[in-house]
Formats: sequence, structure tokens, C-alpha cells
Amino acid sequence: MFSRILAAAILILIPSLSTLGNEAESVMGGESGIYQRLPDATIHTTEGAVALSTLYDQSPLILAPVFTRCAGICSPFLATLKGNLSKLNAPADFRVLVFSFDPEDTPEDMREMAQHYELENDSQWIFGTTDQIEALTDALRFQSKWNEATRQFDHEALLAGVNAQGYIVLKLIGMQSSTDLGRLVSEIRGGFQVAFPLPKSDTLFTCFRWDPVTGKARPSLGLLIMAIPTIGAGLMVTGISAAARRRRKRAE
Amino acid sequence: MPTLAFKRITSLWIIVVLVLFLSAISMGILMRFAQGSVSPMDPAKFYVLMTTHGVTMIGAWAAASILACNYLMARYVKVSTGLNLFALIGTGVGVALLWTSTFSGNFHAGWTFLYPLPFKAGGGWQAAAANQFLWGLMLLSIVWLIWCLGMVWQILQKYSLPQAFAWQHLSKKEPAVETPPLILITMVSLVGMIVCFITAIILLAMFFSESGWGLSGKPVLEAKLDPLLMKNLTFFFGHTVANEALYLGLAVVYELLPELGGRPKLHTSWYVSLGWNCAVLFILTAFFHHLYMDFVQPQGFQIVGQVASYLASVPSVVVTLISLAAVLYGRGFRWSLPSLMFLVGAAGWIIGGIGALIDATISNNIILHNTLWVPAHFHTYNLMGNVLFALGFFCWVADDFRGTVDPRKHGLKLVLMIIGGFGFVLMFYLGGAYSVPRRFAFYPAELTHAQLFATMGAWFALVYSLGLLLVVLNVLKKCFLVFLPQRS
Repeated sequence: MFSRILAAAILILIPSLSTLGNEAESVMGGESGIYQRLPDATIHTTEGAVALSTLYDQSPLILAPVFTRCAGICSPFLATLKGNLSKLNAPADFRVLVFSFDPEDTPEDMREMAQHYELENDSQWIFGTTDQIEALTDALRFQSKWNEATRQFDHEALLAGVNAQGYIVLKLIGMQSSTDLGRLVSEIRGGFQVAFPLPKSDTLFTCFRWDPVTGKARPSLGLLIMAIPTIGAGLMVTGISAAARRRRKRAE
Repeated sequence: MPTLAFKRITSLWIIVVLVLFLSAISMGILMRFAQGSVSPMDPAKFYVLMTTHGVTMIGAWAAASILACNYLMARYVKVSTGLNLFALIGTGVGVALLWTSTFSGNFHAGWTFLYPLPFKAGGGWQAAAANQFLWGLMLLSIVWLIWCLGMVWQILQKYSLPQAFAWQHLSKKEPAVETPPLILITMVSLVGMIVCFITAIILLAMFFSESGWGLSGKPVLEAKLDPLLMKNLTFFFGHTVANEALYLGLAVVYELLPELGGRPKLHTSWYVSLGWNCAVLFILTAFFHHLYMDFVQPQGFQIVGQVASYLASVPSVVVTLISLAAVLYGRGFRWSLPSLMFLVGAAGWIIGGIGALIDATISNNIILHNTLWVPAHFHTYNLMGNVLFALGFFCWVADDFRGTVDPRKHGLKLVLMIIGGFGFVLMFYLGGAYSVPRRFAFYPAELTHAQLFATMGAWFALVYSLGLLLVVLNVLKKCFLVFLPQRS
């Protein structure tokens, strides 16, 4: 009988588990990679090479991966970004790093792209390439796929906010309104975000304690509270059973 | 067998449940008409109705399921009239606290009262109203915990713990003591209910640690609560209690359907025992699927949520379908209104369950989570599942009180309820498929189909209510007769 049960359990588990890896990753697209530190990639511009850590040490960054041959989203995406950022009237204490994820792009291509948007002389904007495309796009969990038929990358329009310590603090996918960009800018400056409160030292019983250095969450006392009802119910029913057994024996 | 006093208290319970149901269904119809712009409503009033409707419906039908099982348990074990009376009085006070907190205090944070919303009224309600609502729930949780523990005590007076869980049926040997399916399913569901009510008590005590025990709003501890933990506890309680209520409803079906159809009683076999023992284990972890949107919840828990949702449904559905097929197979089944309600209820439970599984799949949930798909599936397995199980029991027990049998099928009443009920939930499903958001007091013009679906849904609900009213009047008449002097 137990072999039948085991076989049935495996049959049920396999199809559901097989979907989980991909589903969980795609579902969490907007959140994956959050609070992870960026690799210290080297960014090449026509003015020379600079380490990513040097850039975010100076000021928080908004990263925008693009490619210059793009016939799709990149152009309206950058135009919208430029327009909506200017609407914010925010102090220029952060920078926008537009980097290419296409290995065929050169710093010169990127400079031409900057010229196209009249941003080549704007110190808030940096257009460059990197030799560590894979490391950077992996860290950002940036989704792209080369399409041989169209000779284009199918890719998402991603903006990633990186704070002055090099952590990805917020990701926005798709064309963004100035309101959402305002949230992104506030986040990379370390501004208070109502939507994502972290437990503080005066928080009673948390499920997990998140360590920003290791990027890992450790179980905390709150999880024990989640177990109390089941343990409590088990003890109560066992206690009642013992009392009822004694009573039955007395009656016999 | 049930005593006259037990019948009377059961009758009183049925009257209370039906009055609550009729009131809550009226609120639901008003809300759908408001969403359809047929009779627009102030959003604050809409959310007052939504909160009252949600908490009343879940509570009323959970109580009805417990009550039905307790009545039928009298066939096998000694039951207590006093315990049921205590539960009824406690429930009455609890409901009074809840209803006055919403209708009088204007509390409208939803039945989920997700932390910290009750404390962030923004002028919508006073702190005292929030505390009164929480106290109402606390009282109900304590009273129903005692009720469930009392029923477990009644079962364990006759059956040992392993026998109550029907573990002796798992071995190949012929068991010395047979555990009836009613006792098995009631026992596993009561254990689940006990877990729920302990969870609710812990959750509410944590709320009070921040809001204070009294109505003054003075905190007990100078500490804040973790919203993630509070949400986990809320759905551990809320999701599980709704499912256990359904399981208790199924216990009634296992007990009564063969009897009503003139078939031999169902017996507990190894797969019935295994299926129901597994169901209660899996259902305790399925609630994680309510937290897919909470990205701070580790991914492992989300995976557990999806897998447990699948696993929880398989044993109970498969085992029940096999058992129902065995009962219905062949000619000569005697159909009556209760047995038809049980059959339609089983269909509603399974259809709603499939809707729930679709939503519990992570890749679908990202699209469906905040849409009308959610009320679609839970209205299907409640309105067209658990409610029909309980109504079937009410119809049967109203005759049982006087030892009579109503041979009529009452086809028109049931047809009205089927057309109205499934039409009503279909409008929710269509809304979900069109990504109409849930919990909106009114729909902007951009949501082109939303108002039409809402209005149509309200009309279907009226059709359902018409059939329901005819059934309820018949049941109430018979329930009131129990209080008349009985002939010897």
C-alpha cells in the first residue's frame, strides 16, 4: 500500500515542482535581485574606463540596460526616461548609467546614442559599455534573449536603482511615469518608503531577520509563533485523549 | 439519539444562521448593485458592508458545519446540549460586538483586518471601534475553541485517539472497531479548527499588545508588530477555517447522502482514512498561497504554498468523488431536496476548488491575485458548496425533528438556486478574466465590462435569493414547530 502512496505522491509532485523554478523566477522579476550588491564591473566610455564602485561611491545610480541597434523599446524608453526625469525637478545628486548589454556595441556607439538624445554634455548621464555584461545583467536579473530572425534582442525595459553602497534597492520594469521615477529616486537616496518597512529593534517577534551584509534572511522567533497553534492543538487533543481514556477505564 | 432539548438548541442555531445568512446575502446584493452603479453607495458604507458581509458569512457557515456534525455525532457518541447553548450565546454576543463595531462604529478594514490597517483609520473609524471588532473576533475564537474541544472530548469518550483518526483502517487487517466516516472527518476537521482558533487568539492578543486591551487605545507594550508575521497568522487562521468548514460539510454528506438515497452506509476504508488524514496535514500549510505577493516572504514558503495547495485538494477530492460515485452508482437512488443539494454542493465545491487551484498556482496568481477571480472561487465553494451542504442538512434535520420525511424534490427552488448561484459566480469569474480588480467600491469607466458584470451578478444573486427564501421559509416553519409541546 505504501508503495502505491509513494508513487502517487511522486506523480503529483513532479508536474508541480517542474514548473516552480521558472515560475518563481519570472513572477518575482520586479523583486529578484533586490538588496544584492552589484559586481564591480568596469564601465568604458569615450572618456576612459571607470569602476562601477567609483560611480556609486560618488552618488546613487539608476542603471538602464539598452543596446544601440534596438529597433524596439530602447528609444522610446530612453526618451521617456529623460522627459520624466526632467519633470521631477529633483536635485542632480544621482546619476543615470545607460550601459549596453550588446557585446557588439562600442563606447563610440554609446556616445552617438547620447548625442541622439542631446545628453552627451549632461554630467548626470553616463553612456558606456562593459566587458562584464553577463555579471552585471545576472546581478540585475535582467531578462534578454537574442532573436536570430529579427537580429534583435527581446528584452525588458529595466530601470534599477542602486544606492550609494552599491545595493540594488528597487527595480522598475516597463515605461515609467514621473511618479514612479520619483519613488525610485527617493529610494536610492535612502528616503523612507512606506510600502516596504523593515523590522526594527522594537519590533515584537519577526518571522525573519534580514542581514544586509550577507543578503540572507535568518529564521526568527516569529516562526516559532507560527508553530504554536499546531503544537498547542496537538497537546490539547492529546491531553483530552488521556483524560477520556482514564474516564473510560474508570467506567469499565 | 438527540434529545428534545438538543433538537431545540439545534433549531435555534439554524434560525440564527439563516437570519444571519439572509442579512449578509442582502449586503452582498447591495454591494454588487453599487458596483454596477445601479444604486451607488458612499465608499465608506460599501466597505462597512464588505467587512460585515465577509466576517458574517465565514462565521455563519463555519458554525453551521460544526453544528451539523455535532447533531449527527449524536448517532455515535453522547453530545452536550449545554455546550451548544454556550456556543450559541457566545456567538450571539460576538456577532453583536462585530456588527455594532461596523454599523455603529463604522469599522471597515475588511474581514482580513490586515495589520496595521485597523490602526490606520485615517479618520474612517475610532480606535474603540477597531478594538471592539477585534474583541468580537476574540470572543468568537475563544467560544468556538471551547466548542470544538468539547466535541473532541465527546468523540474521545468513545473512541481512542488513533480510532478517532481511523488509523486502524490503514492496516490490511480487519479493524476491531470501525470508525464511521462522519467521526473521522469531523475529528480531523475539528483538530484543524482548533489550530485556527488558537492562531486567531494569538493574532488578536498581538493586536491588543499594540492597541491595548481596553477601548482607550493605550498600548500594552511599547513595541511594534511585524506585518509579515501578522499576515501569516491572519491567513493561517482565515484560510484554514474556511476549508475546515467545508470539510465538516462533507462529513455531513458522507453520513446523510447514502441514507437519503436508500443506499447502505459508507464505510471507512484505507484510502478514506489516508486521504482525510493527509488532507488535514496539507491544508495547514496551503495558506502560504495568500502571500505570493509578499516578496519578503522567502521563496521556499511560496513553493510550499503551491505544492500544499495541490496536495491538500487531491486526497479529499479524489476520496470524496470515489465515495460519491459508489453511492450514486446504479438505479433506484431516491432523490430528495437535501440529496440534490448535497450533489450540487459537491459540484460547486469541486468547481470552486479548481478555481482556487488555478489562483494558487504562482504564475497565475501574479495576474489573478487582485482581481474578481478571488471572490469568484471562494463564492463558488461557499455559496454553491458549503452553503448547500448546510442547507441540505437543515432541510433534512427540520424533518428529522418531527420524525417525518418530505418526499418532494422542490425542483423549482433548487433550479432557481442553481441558475442564480452559478450565474452569480460566473459574473465574478468573467470579471476576473477581464482583470476587473476586487474590493473596488465603484468601477471607473475604463473598466468597460465591470459594471455590467456587477449588475448581472446582483440580478443572479436575487434569483438565488428567491429560491433560497422558499427553502428557508419551509425550514424555519419546521424549526419553530420544535418549540411547540411535543406529542408523546
